[in-house]
Amino acid sequence: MRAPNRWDDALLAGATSWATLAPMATLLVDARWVVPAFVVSAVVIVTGIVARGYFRHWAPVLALQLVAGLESIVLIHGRGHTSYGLPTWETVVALNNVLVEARETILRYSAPAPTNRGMIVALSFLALAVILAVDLLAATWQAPAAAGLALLTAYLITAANSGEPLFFAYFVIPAALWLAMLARSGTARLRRWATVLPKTPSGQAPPADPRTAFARGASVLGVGALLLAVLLPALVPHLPTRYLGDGLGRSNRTAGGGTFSLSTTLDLLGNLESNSARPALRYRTNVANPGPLRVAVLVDYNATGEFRQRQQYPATQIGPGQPLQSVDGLVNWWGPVRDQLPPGSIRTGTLTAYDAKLDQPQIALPYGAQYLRVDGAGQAVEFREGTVEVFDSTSSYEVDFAAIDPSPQLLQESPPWSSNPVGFLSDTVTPDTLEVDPRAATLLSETMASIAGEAQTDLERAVAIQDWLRSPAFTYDLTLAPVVEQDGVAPDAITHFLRTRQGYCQQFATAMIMLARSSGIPARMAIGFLPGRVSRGEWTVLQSDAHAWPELYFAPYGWVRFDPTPGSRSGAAPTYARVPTVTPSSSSTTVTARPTGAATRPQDQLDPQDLQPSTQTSWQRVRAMSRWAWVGVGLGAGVLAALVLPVTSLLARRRRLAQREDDAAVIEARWQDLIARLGDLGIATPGTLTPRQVHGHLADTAVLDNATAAALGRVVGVLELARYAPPGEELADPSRDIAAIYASVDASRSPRVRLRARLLPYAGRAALLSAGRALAALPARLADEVRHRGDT
Amino acid sequence: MARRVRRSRLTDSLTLRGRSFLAAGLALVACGVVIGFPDITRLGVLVAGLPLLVLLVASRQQLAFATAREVHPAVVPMDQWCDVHLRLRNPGPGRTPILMAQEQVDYALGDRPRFVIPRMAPDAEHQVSYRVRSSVRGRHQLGPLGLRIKDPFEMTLRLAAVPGTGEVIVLPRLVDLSGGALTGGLGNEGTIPHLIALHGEDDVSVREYRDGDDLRHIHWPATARTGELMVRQEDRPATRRIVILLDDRASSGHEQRSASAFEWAVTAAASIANLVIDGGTHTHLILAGEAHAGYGGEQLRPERALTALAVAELHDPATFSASVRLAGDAAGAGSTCIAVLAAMDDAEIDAVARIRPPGSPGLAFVTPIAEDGRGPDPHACAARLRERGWSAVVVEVGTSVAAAWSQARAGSMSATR
Repeated sequence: MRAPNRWDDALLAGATSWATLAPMATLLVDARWVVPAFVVSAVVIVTGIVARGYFRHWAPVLALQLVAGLESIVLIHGRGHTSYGLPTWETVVALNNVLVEARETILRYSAPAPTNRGMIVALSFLALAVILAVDLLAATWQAPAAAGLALLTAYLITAANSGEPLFFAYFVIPAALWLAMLARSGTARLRRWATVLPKTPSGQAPPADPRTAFARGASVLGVGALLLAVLLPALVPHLPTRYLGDGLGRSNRTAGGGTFSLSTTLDLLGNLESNSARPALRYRTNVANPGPLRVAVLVDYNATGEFRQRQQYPATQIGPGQPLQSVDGLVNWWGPVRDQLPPGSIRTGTLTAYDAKLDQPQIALPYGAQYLRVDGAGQAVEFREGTVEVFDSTSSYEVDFAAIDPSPQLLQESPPWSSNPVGFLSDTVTPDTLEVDPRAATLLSETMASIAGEAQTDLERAVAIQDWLRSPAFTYDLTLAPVVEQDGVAPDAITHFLRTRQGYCQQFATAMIMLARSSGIPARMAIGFLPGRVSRGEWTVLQSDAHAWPELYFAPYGWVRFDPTPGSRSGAAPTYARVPTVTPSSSSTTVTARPTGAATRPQDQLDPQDLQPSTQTSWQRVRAMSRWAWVGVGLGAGVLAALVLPVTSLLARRRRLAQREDDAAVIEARWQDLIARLGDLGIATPGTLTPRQVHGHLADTAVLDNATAAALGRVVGVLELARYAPPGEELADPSRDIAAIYASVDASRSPRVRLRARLLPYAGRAALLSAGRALAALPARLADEVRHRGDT
Repeated sequence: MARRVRRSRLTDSLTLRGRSFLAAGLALVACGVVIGFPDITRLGVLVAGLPLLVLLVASRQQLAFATAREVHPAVVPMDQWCDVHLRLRNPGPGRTPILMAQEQVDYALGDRPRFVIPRMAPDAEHQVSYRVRSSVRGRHQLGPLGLRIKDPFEMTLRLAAVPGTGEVIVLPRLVDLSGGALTGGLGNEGTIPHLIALHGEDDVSVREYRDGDDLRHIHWPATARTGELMVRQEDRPATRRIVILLDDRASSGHEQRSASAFEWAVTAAASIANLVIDGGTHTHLILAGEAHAGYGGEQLRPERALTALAVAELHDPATFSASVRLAGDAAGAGSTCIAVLAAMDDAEIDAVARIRPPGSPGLAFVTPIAEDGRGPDPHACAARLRERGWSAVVVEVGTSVAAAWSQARAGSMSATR
């Protein structure tokens, strides 16, 4: 080995890179990508060590590492597409397809994303890029500080996917390794410094190796910096997270703009309180009584009393002519009993929504939505339990729907869930749709016993719950009753509501769901909007029309909507939500026309309040600018900034020349300008020299040919005349000679110096500095003037 | 106009890396807070916190040193190693940080020795030894000790110097002139020619008259004093007196003295002094308007002469006139005069020629004054000196000291006036 192979630096760099890549495991479902990526990086590191032993220059080392890395990727992932192990055009095409799949996955899925083939290959490429960059910077170029940039990029890929900070170990370990790399290079310089060893007088112990003390100092500093880095950001308030791109794992805590979202993790209270006359949605439909529009389905109930959205079911993309799953096939279930349905139970129609302000990925769809057409090239996915999500916020869309209202008789005959019946979408009835909050279990069963003691069927129980919640015993109020602790323990949300009997739609829905679950009926929550009010055929839904209601599962008809919120708010209950009267002859009970309660529903309980601060609609417009426009703006700003100094110097020069009164001053100004510009080109001229001395100095330091030297002589002559001759003397114009001198000197400089002279001219900097100083001195000058005026 | 005093001195010690880290860290923190990513804020705090922490630690560091240097030997012949022993002590109240130290020795002494000073507790001592050698004669300075204080992450760099110097004197080059002792010339043991008047010689000794002594050797003053016949002690060899004069004028007329010629002259004078002092002579070395001679009966020791020659410099011609006068005084009866001169005009040559007492040998080496041959002609000077009884040798370019010496000796043996 002729050159140092720096294997220790390379191994440390590899460990640091892997410590930075490891947190990506949080973005993916499983860890199948680790082994291929590890193999690729090991190949790159070993190749680097071997190559550095033979080559001193960095370029062959880098080239060998790149080739080895790519070849290893090809062999691992593209083996079927190579010829004798070497990549061909076919390999490139195959890898490209796989990477396209990766891109789709990244754009569509939130964390944790599935680890499909595309993601594995993409992560192998990513590992290759990171390891290559870090190895080059840290081991080959011995610049570990710059290697931090490559590590930063890899870290940000993980960190930027959610606004929550990562687990602190994912930050501390790579940071500590990187600091170790930095400290190593500093300690190595210490080792190389000494040419003389210290002398120990006999009888004394030799002094300790100063390098260990150095390393100890480094570790103390590093630990201190890491502690500071972990603790300080927790104390500093952060603005709400803004994402600059789409993709994996957008957290729901985005800052709203003109659009908004229904909170799926927190209370709906925020949306309910915002009842300014801001519309959420406008739509037209050809059905007289559109039902509520559903946005999302929530199943998990967490300990703080909220339902949470979960996306465990695979999502299927909704194509243009594809019906939604939650409806497709439903007709088959209803087929046998279709004629038992009362007339008007099946409502088909089209709903055209426009001016929708729901932020992606949320979209409000009516029940029974079958075909969805989104304006623009928007894509939508549907989750099995029924939630539909769109990729881009869409303000207009069209839905064909066929909603089926089951009849009470059919629901009455529905078998209980405990008998394991089959039904539509029965796979969406997961065990957590029957989970009851254990803290409230006793109270729930007691309540069920008291209100539905005689009920025999699920429908009877459900109707009993709904009627009890809609009775005057309960009060609809956006403010909850104050919490009263019992034995020092605050009651859980359900218990509190059932005791105080005061709340809003969320509490009512939760109570019904829990009560239903405690009696064995699978139940879940749906959030969405009430139909709104109609005027001249156009329905308007306000933000304050946000609503939450329960859905209970009745086999085989699927999930059925109920509404326990008192009617002052929600209008009438669903028509089927009543115990059927015992008139078996007429199975088709006339359906009472649902009151168009939307038009007459009183809204005066809800005082108009503004929830969100007045919107930054201009910000929203700015954010809507396409990304390429941003890039263009950024580039333009950069170019303008680079031109500031040259333009300033040009303007300053013009101003100076224009201000001069006579030729002599002009010549003097041109001379000073020439000296300054030659200084930019690297020929410094001390200011104290006489013109002739300057001539000699320039002749020595600058490489002047004969013509230029002659021109310089002429210019100096004119300058002397201008300075010392009596006024009225005729002076030749030196500008052409000056230009020739500058051009000749400029041509002899290296391109870098010339570029620097053009972009960062001293005259520009001086002009800016003097302007800045004058500006800074302005207040003092004004104060002086005021004081003097006061004196006189 | 009042000068603006720079406010922030603490961050002056940041290196480029430290400044970049600070700037990048602050930018990251700002980004993180505005965009709302605590991870970016963490990174920013880490990157900016490192240089700030380092600055904090550095601002509390104490730095004080006392140095002492011992040089063995303090006067060293050319091209020979000299050991320098440097002792450092920390007098201050606190511990000193780890320092990279560099002893700033004169350029002529070669590479600057570098070493690492470990952390020293108060009143602790640290010792380092290094060797220097030089091919340039003169007085060379050792020190001051330059210190570099760097932190392990290379964010800050501070430079300091500990005052306190040592010195080492490097003697001029000595050419071996052995085999050319002044034995063939006048003044050898035993026979003292009558031309050399020993009357008034201070160091003559007398003894009683023995049969067979030469009557011419009767020492009459001693006989008159003691009443017995006393004769001068003959078999004690007369101590030779030698006067060495070095011409160290910086210029002659308009011509600047060439440095290489002066070095040749110093080498020649040193080699000659080294040769003759060994032989047990009373040597007077005259240069720079000063006479170096032994005192109190002691002879001039070689080290003193060589040390004086080691620090020889060029002076203005008035100093040389003083040297000539001193040489004339020192060259009493019977001194051999050796002059290493540069070409000078006739009046000065005559002044120099008068140094030599009649009957004593005189050897002169005349170098040109300037490199390009301008100035007084050395051949004319040499001829003039030869007219006045000196044995003069013109030193051309490429003449070695040994060759010039043997040539001058040969010339002096033949000149027995």
